[in-house]
Amino acid sequence: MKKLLSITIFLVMATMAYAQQPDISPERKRAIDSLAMEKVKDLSRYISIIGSKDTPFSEANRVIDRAMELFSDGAQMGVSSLNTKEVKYYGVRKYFERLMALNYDQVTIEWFNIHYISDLVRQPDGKYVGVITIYQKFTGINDDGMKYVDITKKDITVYVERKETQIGGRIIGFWDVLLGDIRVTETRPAN
Amino acid sequence: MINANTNPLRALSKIFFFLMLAVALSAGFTSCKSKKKLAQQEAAEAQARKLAKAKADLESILTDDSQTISEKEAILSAVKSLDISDPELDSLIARAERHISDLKAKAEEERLAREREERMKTDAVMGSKTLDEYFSSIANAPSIDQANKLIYEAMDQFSGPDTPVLIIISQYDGQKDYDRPTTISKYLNYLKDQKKSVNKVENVVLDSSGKIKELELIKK
Repeated sequence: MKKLLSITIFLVMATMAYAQQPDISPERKRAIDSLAMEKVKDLSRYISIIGSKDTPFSEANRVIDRAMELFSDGAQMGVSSLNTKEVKYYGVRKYFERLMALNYDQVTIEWFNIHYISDLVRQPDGKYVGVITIYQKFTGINDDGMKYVDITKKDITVYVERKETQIGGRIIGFWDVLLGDIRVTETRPAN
Repeated sequence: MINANTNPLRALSKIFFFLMLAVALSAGFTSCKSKKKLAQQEAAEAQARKLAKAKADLESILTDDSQTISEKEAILSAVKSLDISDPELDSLIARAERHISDLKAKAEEERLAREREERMKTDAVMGSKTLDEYFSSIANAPSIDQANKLIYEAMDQFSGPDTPVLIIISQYDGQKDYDRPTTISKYLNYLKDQKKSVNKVENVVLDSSGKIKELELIKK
């Protein structure tokens, strides 16, 4: 009975604390929506650089490190193919390394139609979580003329959290955007 | 007939007169001596008070940060004009002079830094090879090598590769919301990778050698 009472009190207090958190203005909300979208677009560019056979090895590795900074710890990337129904999930670094080593002579990766399918919504812990969908056109070409093209729809979970850090002796408040798992929801041939 | 010179009464009164005169003179002399002593004592006390105040004034030059340099100089000048000879006071005067000299040097250094900062801000906006132009050139470089060369050049304006870069994403009620802070090295490489320059210089903070030690950008 005592335990139940403690839990009830805790839940009431937690709810009150959540209710007391000031909601951000629509302008600030738009700014973080836009920031999260920009991070996804940045990832798109990084993936394109890493996959490109024109990118020098050292540059690709540097870009992998930069791309890794966009992800939360333990985030996974789904990989699909027209040749199999199975969707494999890799840790993002492993995914980037595999992407860099793909057995094609030319690789082009483009993301398009990037949009929110689930708006950023504040969670009880104060973080904002949303989902952005992207379409990826993958083209792999070999010198012998073999060409593979597919279009994959992927959902990216996005986390935005208010954090603080100290710079030049003063406290700086910032919005930290981190990408979570990227899940494949559809794979089809390109028209 | 009685001779006045030999009149005993008269002689007695004469003696009494001289006696009284001697007593009066003696008393006057003693009183004068006391007054002189008192005056000397008062003068010594006044001198001690003057010395104590002079020392306190000099201490204030060394410790009171609310005083301006001009105020400190005026206090020092007033103390020196007192012309008091005291070894401790002389030592304090020397310390106060050094302190004022240091403050002047520091103020001059700050003034020059402010000037450089203003110049840098102006350059960043309208100079010949501005930071914004560097950003744009790096983002639009035709090759990785060309972009790297520009990054190398631009880095010369910064204290080091880890110079913090803050990017304002929105402002409300005088408060700024930032993106996750980055470094100048990462930011310049970001421009190279992303091939876009969407931020412009908002503010720079310079170090003592005139290099940028903190950069604040804002969305264009």
